[in-house]
Amino acid sequence: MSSSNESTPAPATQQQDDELVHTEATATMLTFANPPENDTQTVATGCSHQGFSAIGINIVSGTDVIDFSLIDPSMCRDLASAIERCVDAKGFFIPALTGTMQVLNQKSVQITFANFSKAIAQLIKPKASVL
Amino acid sequence: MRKKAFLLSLSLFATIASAQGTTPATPPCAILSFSAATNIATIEFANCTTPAPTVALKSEAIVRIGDSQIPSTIIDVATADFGPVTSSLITLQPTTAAGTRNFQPADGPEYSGNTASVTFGTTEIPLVLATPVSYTEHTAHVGQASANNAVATTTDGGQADASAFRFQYDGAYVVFPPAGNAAKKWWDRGVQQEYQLSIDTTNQKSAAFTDDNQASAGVYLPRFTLGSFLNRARFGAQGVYSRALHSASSTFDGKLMFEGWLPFFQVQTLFSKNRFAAPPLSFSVGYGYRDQKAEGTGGSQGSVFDGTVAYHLYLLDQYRVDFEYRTVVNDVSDRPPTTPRTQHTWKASVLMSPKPGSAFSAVVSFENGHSGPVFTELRQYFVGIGLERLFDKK
Repeated sequence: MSSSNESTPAPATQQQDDELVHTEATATMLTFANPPENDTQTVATGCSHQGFSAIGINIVSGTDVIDFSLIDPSMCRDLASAIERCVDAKGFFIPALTGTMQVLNQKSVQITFANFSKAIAQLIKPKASVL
Repeated sequence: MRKKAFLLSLSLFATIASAQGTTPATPPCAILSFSAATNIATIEFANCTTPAPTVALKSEAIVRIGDSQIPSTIIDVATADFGPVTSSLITLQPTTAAGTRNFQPADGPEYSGNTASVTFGTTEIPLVLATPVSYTEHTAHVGQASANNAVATTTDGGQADASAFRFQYDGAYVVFPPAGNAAKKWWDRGVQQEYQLSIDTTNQKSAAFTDDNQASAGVYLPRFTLGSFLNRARFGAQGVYSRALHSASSTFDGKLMFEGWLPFFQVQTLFSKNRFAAPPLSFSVGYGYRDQKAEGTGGSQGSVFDGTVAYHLYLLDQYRVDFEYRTVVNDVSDRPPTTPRTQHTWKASVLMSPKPGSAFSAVVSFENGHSGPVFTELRQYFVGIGLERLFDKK
């Protein structure tokens, strides 16, 4: 025979209260599980991914080498626009990038996606600190 | 008349591109870009022989674009480090004042010319617009071309030399729709005008050598994307006049065009450590009317269809193979007997870049099929050494 405490579930309100207790440990676990979008590298990676998708290029991994010699000035503008809009929508500032992308094209730069998004992350700042 | 030609050419080529309408004496050092998201503009200092100017945050600057003058404040200074390319970025925001122009794309950076400059204090620096009103590009190749048989006949039946001096030129002039239209629906943003001149001929009057020259004019609606199925697609209309310089053969095509990319067919990488990422398979189709004049048959008219696909493949970390296949269905009423109704051309080019950013590159190409208004069945090899960025400052 089981005791009433074992057979009777805790009241719903008690259960919710238990789940809402945030210790330092659970907060750390939540951060690892769902990193917030205030990390400039996370924003840069996501928005760079979105930018290349906008011009028809699928990025599979960070080691993918982007060949800018084939990304013409018109595509550079569309790539830059997509990244700028994405970063802005996430509440961050980034300089206008069309010229930067065009220089990469003029120099026929080949760069891994990981290094590209790192460079983008260096340009991203919280809006409040700039605008 | 020889039907088959076999050309081997060794050439040097150079490319000159300009966003200023005329080729600048020096390469662009400072590039002005506008943000798609916010009312800012960024000046990128790259390729400069002197360091980027030292400026203070919140200091004033004046940006001039065409006839517009925009008092601005420097809000950010940063360094962009993309591996082999490191540049300085200065970002400006228009000083808030009633009646002043701004950089906001929705309002449009209302300029009518390609000239721009920025003044920091008393120093004025010329700028190149990343999104110019118009764009000009020239490419020229010169070299020796050889037929595989010493007995090459001229188009009038005489004997021609087995080697020739070959000249290739491609020029393009593009006029973009106003930048301020970016916020409108895609079909309402205005048309892009494209004019091209292409010359590929030799000094020999012989069907053993290519003689394919074109002038074209086209208007295109802005590009659009349909999910992950179709990318950067656009509709347009194009007129193309082609003629041989060494004979009276010519064609005029008036066509409706549709082109774009198919992202499902991404570039492939073989035998490399890393996967390469580049534009996917592209296509272009056109259908319209052809007016053809061929030597010996007079004029004839009819419909014409052409389709082109292009694709890239990467090999062994430093080789890129470009494939291009073109089909032309020539349905004119009175075709010359030597002209097939359907012409196929394909070309494969292998490009080698010793290292990213190198001043030299090499290209080897093989082209096979029918080409140009003289309807020569062409089999052509090309070996070239490219000199990159001849006009860059180091």
